[in-house]
Amino acid sequence: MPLTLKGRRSDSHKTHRSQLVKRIVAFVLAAFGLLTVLDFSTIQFISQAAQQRKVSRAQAVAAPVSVSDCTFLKDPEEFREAQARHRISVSRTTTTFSESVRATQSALVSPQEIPRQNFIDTILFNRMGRDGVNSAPLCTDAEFIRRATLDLTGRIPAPENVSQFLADTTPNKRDQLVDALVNSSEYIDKWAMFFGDLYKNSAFATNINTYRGGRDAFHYYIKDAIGSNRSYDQIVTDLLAGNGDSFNATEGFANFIVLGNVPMGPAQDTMDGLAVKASTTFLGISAVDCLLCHDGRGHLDEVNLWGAQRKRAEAYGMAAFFARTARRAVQLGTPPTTNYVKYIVSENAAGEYNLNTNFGNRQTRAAVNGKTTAAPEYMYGGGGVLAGENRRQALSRHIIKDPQFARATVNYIWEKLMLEGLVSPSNAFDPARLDPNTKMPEGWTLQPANAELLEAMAQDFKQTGFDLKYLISTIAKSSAYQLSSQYAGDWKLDYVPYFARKYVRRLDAEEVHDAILKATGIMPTMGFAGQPAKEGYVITDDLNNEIGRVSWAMQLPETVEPRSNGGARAFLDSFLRGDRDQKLRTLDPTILQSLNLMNNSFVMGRIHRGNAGSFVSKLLANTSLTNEQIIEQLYLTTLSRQPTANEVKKLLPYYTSLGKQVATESVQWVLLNKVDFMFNY
Amino acid sequence: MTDHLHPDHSCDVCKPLRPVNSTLWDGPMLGRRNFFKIAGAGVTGFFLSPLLKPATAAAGVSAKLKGTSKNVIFILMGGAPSHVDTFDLKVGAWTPTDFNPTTYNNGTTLFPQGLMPGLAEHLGKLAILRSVRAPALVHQLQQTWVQIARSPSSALGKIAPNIGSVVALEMEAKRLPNHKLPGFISLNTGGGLIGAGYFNARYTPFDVGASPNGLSNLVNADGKTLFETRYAMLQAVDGELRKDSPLGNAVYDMDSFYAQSKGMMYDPEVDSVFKFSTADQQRYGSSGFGNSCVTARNLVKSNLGTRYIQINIGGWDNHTNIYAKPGGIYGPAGQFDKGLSNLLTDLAALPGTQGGSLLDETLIVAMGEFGRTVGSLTVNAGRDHFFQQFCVMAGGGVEGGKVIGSTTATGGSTVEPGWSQNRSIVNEDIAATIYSALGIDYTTSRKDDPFGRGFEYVPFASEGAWYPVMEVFDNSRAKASGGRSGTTRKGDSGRGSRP
Repeated sequence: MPLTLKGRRSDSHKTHRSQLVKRIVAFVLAAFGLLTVLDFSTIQFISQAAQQRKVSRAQAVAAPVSVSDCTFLKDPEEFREAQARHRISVSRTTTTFSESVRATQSALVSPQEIPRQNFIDTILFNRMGRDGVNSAPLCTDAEFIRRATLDLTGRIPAPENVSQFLADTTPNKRDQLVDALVNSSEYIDKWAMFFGDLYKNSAFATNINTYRGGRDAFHYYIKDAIGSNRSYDQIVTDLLAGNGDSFNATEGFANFIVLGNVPMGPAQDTMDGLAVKASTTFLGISAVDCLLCHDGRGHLDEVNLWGAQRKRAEAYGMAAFFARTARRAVQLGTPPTTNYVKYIVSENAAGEYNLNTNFGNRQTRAAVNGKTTAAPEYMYGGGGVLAGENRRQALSRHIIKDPQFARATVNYIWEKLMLEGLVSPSNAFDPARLDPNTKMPEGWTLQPANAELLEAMAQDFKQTGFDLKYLISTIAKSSAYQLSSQYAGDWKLDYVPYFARKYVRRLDAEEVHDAILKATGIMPTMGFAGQPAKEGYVITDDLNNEIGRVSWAMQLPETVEPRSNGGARAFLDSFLRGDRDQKLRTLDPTILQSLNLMNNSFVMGRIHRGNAGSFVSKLLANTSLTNEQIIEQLYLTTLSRQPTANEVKKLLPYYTSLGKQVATESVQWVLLNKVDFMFNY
Repeated sequence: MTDHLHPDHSCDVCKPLRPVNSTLWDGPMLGRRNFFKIAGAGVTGFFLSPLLKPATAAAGVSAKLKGTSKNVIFILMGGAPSHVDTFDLKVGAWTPTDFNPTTYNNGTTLFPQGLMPGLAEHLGKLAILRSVRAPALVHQLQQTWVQIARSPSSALGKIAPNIGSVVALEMEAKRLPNHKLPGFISLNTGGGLIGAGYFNARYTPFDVGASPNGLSNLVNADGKTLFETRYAMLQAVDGELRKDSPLGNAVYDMDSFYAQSKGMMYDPEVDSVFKFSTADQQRYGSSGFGNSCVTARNLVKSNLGTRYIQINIGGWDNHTNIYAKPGGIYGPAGQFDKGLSNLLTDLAALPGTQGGSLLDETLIVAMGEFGRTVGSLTVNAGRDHFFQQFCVMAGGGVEGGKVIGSTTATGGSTVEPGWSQNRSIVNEDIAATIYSALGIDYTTSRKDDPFGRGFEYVPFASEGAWYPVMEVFDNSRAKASGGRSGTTRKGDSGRGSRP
């Protein structure tokens, strides 16, 4: 199979290359213009230069093609393994973690025994039964309340909620918990952060400054949309087709278009950038980025079957939907701060995607079949602009109608909650490899881990009116979500796409911060000279005036806040929350994290009897509690579970050697540094 | 390409950059449309030249590895220093008298002795690259470019690691048991520090705020004894959870990070790296940059596993009143001068591991993200953003007293590239030079990036697109010879009079 593919690739490349060689002279200027800005263009330029050298050196020698025109082709095998690599990572993290938590392992069960809570379970566990894969059992109630509370609200549960939940005998108490969580205000914080990340809401991005005014307006818009459970098709229409003032909280969606700016090129580069952003964010298809430079054939042949069949001109059609998008800057500053602006996003009455550029971020745009402009045409199934509709309205209509929109959205949410996308990475969809009823060309396989499930979830999402809260609840209520992360049997990498156990993750930076607040009971405070300290980190506007305070990190409008508190920022940054621009959010461990958790005053200032309001001080004040009960309370509050008998046995002697107060402070320190504090498992 | 003169601000390209009574280019958004104009013009002109003079290297070139350096100290001069007021000094009616322009190195190096008197004494250790051009004039974008050696807008730009992370990863195999410090440490950085990209967090820069008091969080507020007790408690209840993973992969093993962290705590060796005397602090200039230079010296001296140190020094964005005292360029230049000149003095005096000095095995690179406009000052008595810039190198096999490349009378563009590729030097070439000095194959293409596109240390270097500036090296020095050639030359040879 790989042989045929490889053969095809080199053939197509020869053709492609010879065409390129003929066009070298025409490309020269453009290629060098491109070089400055974009590696992707550099690829083109370099291959031109390399090509030129080759040609001049040895015209007659058919030198083997050693370098591809496109980095995708540097090693397509590797690209195709991207999903496999993620599976390995998810699997390894989970096995490593659960190897360590051996205490509660319980036997595997036949998938027939797993209750079908909804259609997700029917599809997943039937598949497992058919293929003879055993399932992990359902997780314990204590595991479930911590897992769901973290996943749905970003906080750890309150100890009294844990106790109540454990004592509750209602049969459908897990469903009831999910319902309560998705209707809490913390749910809004958590998912506003998620969508803020997805839309890259940042005040000072590399490509444009929206300023804190724009960022806050966008943040308010997202919070409001999540809070009112605005249907996702409506949200997407707002973001894509909305006109408005980037600083106006009710029109904050306008920042989505503003943030799509692509500097250092002609206007078409920004139209392209918006097309890429729309495709990636809403359809999970990033391959359009490649297509806006070149046809798919000869480039995406082994990477993306759908993309390989696409022409650059089709991608122009997508970009042309943004040809009339206007972004007008309004000066807000008084000299010398004249660069302080907000934007008015609107739609011009006229304007085309002209095929006439020779500099900037992308390859030369030249007339196609004699046409010097590209008409708007939806590249995933066709469709243009109707009468009475502007271009961005047309595009959002096409996207919402496209089944791929629902697929991509459910996959983003599935990936967030299940830690492994049905298509992974979640922005690498190949529309030509999603339908199990289509015969794949030789060498290609179906892309989704479970195509039937992806399709069913997409259908369900569409039929329920693109209801995000319903989608999130449906996943959280499934048995699939509620499996134990332990797998008391031979775990194989091949099992990953079956979701035969729950995969574990480290907590996000905000979750770590907020869990420490909640477990210790001490909220952050800030004060200014001559004034008493007040609760919360100060959030400031562009003129550095206080506009409000935030205590929970999950409520921050951006992942570089709070600017007002360097200590809190440094603590949060050490957990690699990213900056929505150049720095990716990752869940990797680092030395700095351990140093912070062990020694930072953020932790050390919260574990003592003397720290006003600390949970430890309250425990010590209650003289009726035995040492064992104190340990139990600390476990419930910090780890949302009861200690094991062995754990109590190991900790109790310290009450003798250290004395009650220091031992209690020490136990809280230990639990904040414990492995299971750092994980959602 | 015509020289980019604009002393009278009449140039069509630059004119839109200068609305009256305004500060320019404070952020990436300012006057972006105008930026297109200048970028477009500068871009075409600049990048046309190498194509007309194609690189001599053919596709599939093998890497030129010098391998003369063990450590790198990379100094990012944030805000973009004016090249024509510092390392490519152009004297004109605007030049303040106290710059005291003086020639050094047999007349090859005109230098503002009065602005940077300390470094004037060390010019014999420095190689000055003057044929350097920046690809973009937006601070954040270009600062990122400098750190990742590729366009931040490129396919892998968003996931590309800092050069220092690549170095840390490459040097990982050579780590010894006593190497208790991370391979990559950054000092005095603001928000613009680029991390490990898609690399494992192990290679993330360990970001430190240098201070005489040492590193924060290396001691516990409740004291060492209680800390040790608590750590033992943690092991007691968590021991089974913290075992080495059955897969043997430290990456996912939380305990390895705790062990490394604990290994750095209460450790006199680590303390001696991060703590320093107030005498040192004062000698190095009592600034964040000076403190960072002391710490960098200590890091190199300690040989505890750190191989790449990035130090940032801001304050060079002198759009207004560039010659005003004490602000203007005098502020950052004074800090830079004190810090770097003492660093050079100390490293040259400390014995290395291979017979020479520590400076001989430590490459120092200093540059901004771009240069500043040339000729007389703007209406705001400052200089705005400009493509031509400089880069300074020392130690690690670099031949001091050398000037690579020359610029036009105003400093507006490259006249003589002065190196093998016969074109202006760009960030990718600088990165290739750093890798070459360390003996790291800069043509390496890793297969582990999440997009599977192949992450190249220096993009397209394997095709000869970018190349190390081998001319900076002392070619009498063999690989890792540890010879002292870099320090025997005296800085003030050929000292001359003011022009």
